[in-house]
Amino acid sequence: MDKWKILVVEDDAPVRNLITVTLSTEDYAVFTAASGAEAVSEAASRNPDIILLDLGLPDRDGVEVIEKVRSWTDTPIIVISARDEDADKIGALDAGADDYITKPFSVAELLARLRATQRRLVHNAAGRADAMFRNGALTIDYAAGCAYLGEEELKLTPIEYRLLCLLAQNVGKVLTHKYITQHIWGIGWENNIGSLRVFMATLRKKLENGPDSPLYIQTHIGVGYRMIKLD
Amino acid sequence: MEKILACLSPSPSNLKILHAAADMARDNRELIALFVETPDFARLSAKDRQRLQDNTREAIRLGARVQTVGGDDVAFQIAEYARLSEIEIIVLGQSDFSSVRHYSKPTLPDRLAELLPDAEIHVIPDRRRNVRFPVQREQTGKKRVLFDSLFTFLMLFAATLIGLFLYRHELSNSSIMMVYLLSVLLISVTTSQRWYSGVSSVIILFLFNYFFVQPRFSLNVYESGYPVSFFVMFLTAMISGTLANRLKRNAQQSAEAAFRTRIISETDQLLAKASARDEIMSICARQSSSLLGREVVLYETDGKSIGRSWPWPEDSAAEAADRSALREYLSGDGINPLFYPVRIQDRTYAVLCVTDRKPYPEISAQSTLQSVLGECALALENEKNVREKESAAILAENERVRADLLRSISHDLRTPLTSISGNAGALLENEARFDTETKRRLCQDIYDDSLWLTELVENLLTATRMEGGEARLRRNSELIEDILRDAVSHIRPDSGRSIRVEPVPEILLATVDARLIVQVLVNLVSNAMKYTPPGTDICLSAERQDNRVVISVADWGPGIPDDEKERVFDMFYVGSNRETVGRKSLGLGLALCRTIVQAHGGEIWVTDNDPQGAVFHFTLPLEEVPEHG
Repeated sequence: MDKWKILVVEDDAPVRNLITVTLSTEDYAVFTAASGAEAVSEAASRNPDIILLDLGLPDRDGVEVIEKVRSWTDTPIIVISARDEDADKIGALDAGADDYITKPFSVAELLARLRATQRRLVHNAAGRADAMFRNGALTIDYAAGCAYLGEEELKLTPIEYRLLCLLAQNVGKVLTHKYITQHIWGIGWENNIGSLRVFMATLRKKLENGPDSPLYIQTHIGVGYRMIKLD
Repeated sequence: MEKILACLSPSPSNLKILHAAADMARDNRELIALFVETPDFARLSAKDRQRLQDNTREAIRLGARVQTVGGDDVAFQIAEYARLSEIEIIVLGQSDFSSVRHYSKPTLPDRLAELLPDAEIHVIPDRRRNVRFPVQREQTGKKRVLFDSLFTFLMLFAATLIGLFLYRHELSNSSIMMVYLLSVLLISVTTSQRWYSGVSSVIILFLFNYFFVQPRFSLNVYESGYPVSFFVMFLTAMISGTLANRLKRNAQQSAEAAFRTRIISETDQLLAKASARDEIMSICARQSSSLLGREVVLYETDGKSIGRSWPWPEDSAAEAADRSALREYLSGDGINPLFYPVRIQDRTYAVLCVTDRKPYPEISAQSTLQSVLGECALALENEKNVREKESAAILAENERVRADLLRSISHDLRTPLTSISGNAGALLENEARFDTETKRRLCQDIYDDSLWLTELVENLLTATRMEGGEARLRRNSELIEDILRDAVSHIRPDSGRSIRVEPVPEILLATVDARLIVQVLVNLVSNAMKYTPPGTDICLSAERQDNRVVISVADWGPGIPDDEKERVFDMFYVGSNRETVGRKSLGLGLALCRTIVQAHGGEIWVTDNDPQGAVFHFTLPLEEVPEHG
């Protein structure tokens, strides 16, 4: 496969430089944009595999850029935001962003996120239509409506099963509370976050039942949940 | 400062005089409106009282100080007052006090000019002359008339009986005359109107003549000396009656004056003890009410909006009416005789509202009321000044904390920045001359310092958010375990040290601002990392205690001495082992933790670990876990 093409949208030159240098040394093909308008035209002309988008752009709102890009492509978008801007993050995720990373971030963290997104892309390309979902020791048999951890069948309540399927279908993506409650309970239940947390906690106890068990579901405080794609 | 005195009177033209006086007083001169309360005052008609009331209100509105003096001789009273108060200018109307009782005397301006040769006297001409004090009948109730008439009759009857008894014992006629004079004296002291004694003076002449003068039982007189005796008797009865009447009125007036003086001194004493605004307001309302002898409500106001009221009104409809009238009054176009502002110059603190609408308060009571209200206004102003001073002190204290914070921050920011820019500059310029190990060390320093800066900025941002108090918390129901895990994920791993989260056995939900609680945990953990030797483990755990959760961060380092356990949470407090930590503490982190935990309704404290080390605990209120559905 060719080099992965990454579009870096960041108005601050030193940070843009840092990301460009880091990604180039990691063998990515990097394109840059310093404004929202430039980002949209670069995304259209370069057809990147992944977009890194800073939310604080000088010319337009980051959410607008996401909506524009989403109008023609599902290219994964990783949002870069400053801390203490939960509302912005949630807005971006609801508009169609896949993941977010908080400033100040380490280079290692950025690379880890990129790799996770790549795995998801590869996974999706390989078998999206599969009736079976596999992730580490977890297996979901959509046709039979069962989930297994290794050889053992998981005893899940109907809501836990639906939660697991929703997370599995969006593996690697951060799902906001609003997104999850709307898909499990329907529109108008967005305030049911307390119940969501309880179901998520019980689901996780069933999935991650040993001290050595890998982490399947990641909690993003104030934002939502994500199923991690294990190698 | 020059003083101008304007005479107050019930005359309709009095307004003109007041305005003329106010015009003269415009250039920073003091205006005094003086009312001389003569014995005639009690006989003013309701209409005149009302007008006097209106004139007084207008005088107050014009900024005049209203004073009342009592006495018979108007000119003398004005002159005395003017002399004692060093008044240079006197303004009066031609009609003032020119009642029929004075028509034979020199006019008031003439007498004043005579008594005060140095004063400047302005007489404002008036078309309507001779406004008299008409005798007021309606005020004397029918009961009173009945009582007075009956009393007069009984006294005269008794005097006649005694006279007959004396006559039988052949005592001289002069003793009988004395008995009659005594009865007239008693009548004039007891009855409310002066004419009872006048009429009695005449009646006793006839009675005396009829019963005791030869020929008896007729009005004829044989002896030639009797007409003279009658005339002397009549004069004596008239004069003693008038004097007694006047004495009675004076006694009444001085009793009233004593009552008012007592109210004023009592108000002074009460106000001297009161310090709170509420106290002053309630004293003001209470004293005004007992002074006027009627119900009042005191409304708090700043001259525009209307605040609370004293006492709490029972009738809300009446209160609403009062409030709307008061709004009109405050908006400027209102002379409302029932509203008395509590103010100093143009600063209004409250308005007294006389709710009991029937008779208008006596003008002399009004001038006392003005002193009471003036005292209260002064007390309110003092109270306001004290309050402002206090809040200024608090502001200054906040300012001091802020300045300390800034000084501390700018010092602690500069140090790592110097290191970062110095190290980076060295790398840029001398890269070729450094060996790999040196370069690595420089980079490591830059990295460490930048991390420290990041942590500082996080805490500063949180501190800024906490300034708004509890209102700015963004609370959500959160899983305690999620918060613990999230906190650990924000801590940069340290080689050789394990930071573990004890599994939480049950589902614990708390309504918290997760970002802030995570900040608390990050601060506690990074604090533990700073103050313990490398390789020391750190453990986070949570357990339920009734309806709250206790979250603990434990380390196995050197621990915290007992005498520092309380102070570690103080702002800018840096422990005694600062040297071992280097500059890496601002004394802000733990103080912030305490602020955040307290804002969530929890507590934070530190205990010793076993066998050594420190455990920081904090609590959060738990919420009920929803039913599984």
